Amino acid sequence: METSKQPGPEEPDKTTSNKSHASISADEARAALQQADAEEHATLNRPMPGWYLAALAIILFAIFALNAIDGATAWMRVVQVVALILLAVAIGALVGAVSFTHPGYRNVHIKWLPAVLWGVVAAAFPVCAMILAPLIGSWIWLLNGALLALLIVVVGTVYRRRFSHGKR
Amino acid sequence: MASADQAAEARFDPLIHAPHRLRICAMLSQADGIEFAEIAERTELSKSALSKHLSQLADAGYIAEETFVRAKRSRLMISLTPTGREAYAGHRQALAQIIAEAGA
Repeated sequence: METSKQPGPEEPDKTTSNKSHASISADEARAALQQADAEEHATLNRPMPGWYLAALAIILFAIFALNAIDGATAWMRVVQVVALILLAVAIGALVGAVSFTHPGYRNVHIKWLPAVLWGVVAAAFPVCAMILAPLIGSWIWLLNGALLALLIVVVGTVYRRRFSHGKR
Repeated sequence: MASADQAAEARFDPLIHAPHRLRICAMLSQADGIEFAEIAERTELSKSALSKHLSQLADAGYIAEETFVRAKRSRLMISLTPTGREAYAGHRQALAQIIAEAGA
């Protein structure tokens, strides 16, 4: 089996430039594929700043908490609705600015299926609250908001540890 | 990623197989373009070393380079050409084939 020293960062890849299909072992092929997979994942899953998770969780909890307010007067209702709209816009702007904008990258080929599935999971929290609140009380909004915020922090922390790429 | 591999004809490419160039092609395959500085940071290559690798890929017609301005600075965007994408996908398929043949 051919053995070759892995070229350092500055060295041109002379040792492997004349390799052919016939001289590549299965182990080498496997290592190469794993490395390629890792780089592809690193492009698809960009690092995100730590404050982003906290901001998302807080804004979402605030949205849920506003929906938990019961017995509001007419003017309080107006304030409530305006606040909900502003927070929803803030969430959209935040997600658009961080999750879908990657300086240094042009049109990352986002895998939409996982994104949609996670969206469905997140949507389940307000839908459940809307269904259950008339039956068991508006406190379910607070509970679901807390659970969703916790899910975001936990999943986001796992994501950050896996895809920090040595940054932040 | 796996579905794109399956569509490509397996073709081992010594030019792409070199470790740094494989990483560069892999990262480029999942975006329409990545800036030179970002590639240099991810590969931890110096600018001159990265330029050499990119020159080899460009000479083979695998990448395209585009200069643009962002945040008032001139930057270089690197992207895989259709030929480069096909070559990379074919190389991945060839690697998968080697692994499959060893397991058979």
